[in-house]
Amino acid sequence: MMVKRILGPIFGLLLGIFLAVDFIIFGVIAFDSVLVVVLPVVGLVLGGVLAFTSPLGKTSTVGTGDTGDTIAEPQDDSAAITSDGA
Amino acid sequence: MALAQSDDSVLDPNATLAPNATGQCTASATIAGGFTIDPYASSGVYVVPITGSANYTGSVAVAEGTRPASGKVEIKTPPGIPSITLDDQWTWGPEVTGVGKAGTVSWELSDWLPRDVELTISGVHNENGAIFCEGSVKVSFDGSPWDSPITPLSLGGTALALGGLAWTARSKAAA
Repeated sequence: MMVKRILGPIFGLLLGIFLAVDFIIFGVIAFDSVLVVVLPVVGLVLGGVLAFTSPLGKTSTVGTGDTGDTIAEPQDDSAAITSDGA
Repeated sequence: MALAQSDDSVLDPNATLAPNATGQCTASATIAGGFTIDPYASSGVYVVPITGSANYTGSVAVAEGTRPASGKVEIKTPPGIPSITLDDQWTWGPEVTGVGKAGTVSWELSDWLPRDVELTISGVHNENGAIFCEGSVKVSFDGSPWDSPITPLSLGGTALALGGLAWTARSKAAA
């Protein structure tokens, strides 16, 4: 997890730099455009945010719950009750 | 000065854009076997070969003599990044005696240099600390973006960085 939080901003920075170069090469932005500086900074921040929030691949827990925990808890409870009752 | 166009059509049609130079100076460069770049004629995009030479000339309309004056020709860069000065030949001052300069410049640039990228070359001349004349032209190097190895490398780097960013953005459960 820590590795991802370090690599996230680095990948974001690299993405911003490469995107800026791509945009210059294909004439999307001018060589002296302020976006050449802004894009790497935006990439750095975006990479940091994405690495810390990890939004990709998360599933919604609303209404479904975690079936693994649901099964485990009654087992633990029943074991406790049995123990108390003994 | 009329814009000349070579047989190779190295002058972009946009070169007919309005001039982008002010002040009582002259400045021009004639590309060998080609055309003349003149900010007082057009601010358009001049497409120059990656290897070549040019005869340049420039002058200021003042009396000759030693005086406080300065100037430079440079390639414009993004804000926050120092402009690229070609070499010492393209900066002058703080004291100047003459009122003009002419010569020949040649270049042989790396094949790695991206082509078809517009660069703004600007020049300014100051007399007694005030801007006497200034102007700019846009120049790009002849060829397509795919002529430089930088293009596939940059696109590949973009894909790798995007993949890496997606990996770091995946949650632990999804990984």
